[in-house]
Amino acid sequence: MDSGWLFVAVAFTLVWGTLAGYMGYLAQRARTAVATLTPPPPAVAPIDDGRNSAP
Amino acid sequence: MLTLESAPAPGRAQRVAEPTALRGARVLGGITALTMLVAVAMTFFYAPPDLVQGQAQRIFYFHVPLAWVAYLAFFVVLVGSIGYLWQRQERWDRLAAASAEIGLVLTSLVLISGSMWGKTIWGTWWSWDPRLTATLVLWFIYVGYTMVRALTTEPARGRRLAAVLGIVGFLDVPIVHQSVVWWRSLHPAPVVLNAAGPQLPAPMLATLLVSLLAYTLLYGFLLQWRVRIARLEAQATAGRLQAALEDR
Repeated sequence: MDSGWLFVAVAFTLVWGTLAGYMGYLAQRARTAVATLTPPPPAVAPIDDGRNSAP
Repeated sequence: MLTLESAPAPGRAQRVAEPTALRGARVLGGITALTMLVAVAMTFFYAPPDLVQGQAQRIFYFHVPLAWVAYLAFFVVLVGSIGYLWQRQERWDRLAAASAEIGLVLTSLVLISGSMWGKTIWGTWWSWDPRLTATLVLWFIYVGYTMVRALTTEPARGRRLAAVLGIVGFLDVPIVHQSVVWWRSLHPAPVVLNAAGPQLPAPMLATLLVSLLAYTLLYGFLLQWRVRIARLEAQATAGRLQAALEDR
């Protein structure tokens, strides 16, 4: 293979590998921020159907 | 497409979960991905090899667009910095900080891809050529910008210092661009923004223009995403502060 192609392929891979990594980092930060802002689910009292009650 | 709303300070009860991407952002992401696919296909399968440089010249189709969007990113830092110093609204600061981070990533990629192109054409990974040196200085300016923001203990002072650096730092962008005209350089003179018109064959010019569009869209997509994250993080910080005050 022409060594020019090799340099193009390696440079392209480095560029897009870095951009993909950066976008992954942004996605992680977005998920963390949204998780912080999401209110916790309301606490639900256990249903007492009598089976777990002490005699 | 920018999300520049000011960040309210919701209390614990008013916290609202937002999706990680808005509909407009998803549409922009889709258009960006499609345009980028066309640009990559043209880079590898449509543009002819250069008579002198051969296949290695294809680096041109992502090296030059990356440099263009890095300039654009630092112009947005300039606008955001002026806006912040003028109005003292955090939305301007978030815009400038987001664009500086993206610009730093892009400038790093310009240096890496340029170095690989230099090795194939000039036979060296690095030369203290005026444009390379000015670009490296630009990279250091925005590393400094990022460090000022991260290391200042007083956030408002950090924002002010960063805004000043964002304005002064932009002075290097025209120096980078004009360096090939002002000084003797290994880089060629401008082949597109040329007084005599673009000096490229039509397939090469078309590939370059599509690539410029694709990388500009990518920058817009990344910018709105990064600004939105900054806004969500500001809301989260304000919410934590409010919760801590309520717990006292």
